[in-house]
Amino acid sequence: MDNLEQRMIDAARRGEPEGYSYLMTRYSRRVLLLVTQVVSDARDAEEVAQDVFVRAFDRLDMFDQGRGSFGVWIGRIAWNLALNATRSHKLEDLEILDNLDIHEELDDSASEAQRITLLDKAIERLRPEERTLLHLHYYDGHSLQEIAEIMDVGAGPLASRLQRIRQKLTKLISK
Amino acid sequence: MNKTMNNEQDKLLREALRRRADRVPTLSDDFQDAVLHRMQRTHPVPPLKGGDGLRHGSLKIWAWVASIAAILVIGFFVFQRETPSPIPPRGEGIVPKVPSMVAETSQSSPSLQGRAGGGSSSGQASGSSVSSSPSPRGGQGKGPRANGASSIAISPSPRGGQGVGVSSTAPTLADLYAAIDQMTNEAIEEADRLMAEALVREYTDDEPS
Repeated sequence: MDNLEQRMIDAARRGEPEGYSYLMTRYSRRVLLLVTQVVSDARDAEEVAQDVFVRAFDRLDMFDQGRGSFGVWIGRIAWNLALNATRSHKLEDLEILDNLDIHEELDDSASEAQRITLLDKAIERLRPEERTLLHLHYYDGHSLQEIAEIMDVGAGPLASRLQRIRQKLTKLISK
Repeated sequence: MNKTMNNEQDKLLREALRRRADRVPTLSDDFQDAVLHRMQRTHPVPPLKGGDGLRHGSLKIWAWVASIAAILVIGFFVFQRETPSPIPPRGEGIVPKVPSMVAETSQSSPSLQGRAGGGSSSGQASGSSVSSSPSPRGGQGKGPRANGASSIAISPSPRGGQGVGVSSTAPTLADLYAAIDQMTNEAIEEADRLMAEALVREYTDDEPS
């Protein structure tokens, strides 16, 4: 955490608007992207993102920088609120193997763009937990330990889960 | 070879995730304002921009002005009390007569010395009074009490107190402190009231019509 961010967190703790503004500018997009892994509707996702910041600012005194970065801390809030938002719509317990039944065949000469498109569709069909795991690791660049903190699961199971998803996806595009 | 394959696949995976992220629309322009507005329902937060900030700024200035005014008034009051005033301090002016009375009487009444030192006259005497009765309240002083000795009960202030003194209309230090406390409390209450009014006004203004 850089000095500027720490100063802005302190400012937000004192209720100064500049602190809030800085943190929202820096993290709002990340929060939104995380939320959209679970909440598909854009408007709903933005509303949840607002909830995330309201909750985070309300509990800013509970943030302990010694235990992790602000990004991980607010990511955890985002994950929990996104899950709460979809709790009413019970997530289907789909098995990833069945879920990746993409009715498209790739031949050997398939272009990179085609493979990416296929991957994109396959990711869309993943369960939200799986999708979030992929997003946090491959897009946001979080370590497994950080993802474990965000999603409140053990790092060990996460690693094997990530490996399993990755194998299935890569198998799909390496035909 | 296998590692190269994995790197290639990871690259495709990252690209696919990036495309997905690019499809997510950007947040609305009023996202930050919406968050702050929602926060204001529970915690008053100064606005990020615009003229509303002036109200908060002026509110702070009013609070400062009220505090400084209170300090000045208190300081003036204290200063005025410390400068020589026509009212003689305790033990001077009209008062010196009393010690002489004490001195004269104490020679013949050991019980008076005890009363003066023990401070047991609290609330029992009002104003300066001389009693010639044979020590009706008894003395706590040293030595035997002489029968028929004159006893003088002198109260130092309307509240009673210790030792020999004289009741006086001049305010005591305790009165001064009480006055300062009252003025401070009034200033704080006034500042609180102004702040509360301003906040209520602001909430009322912010309510959608």
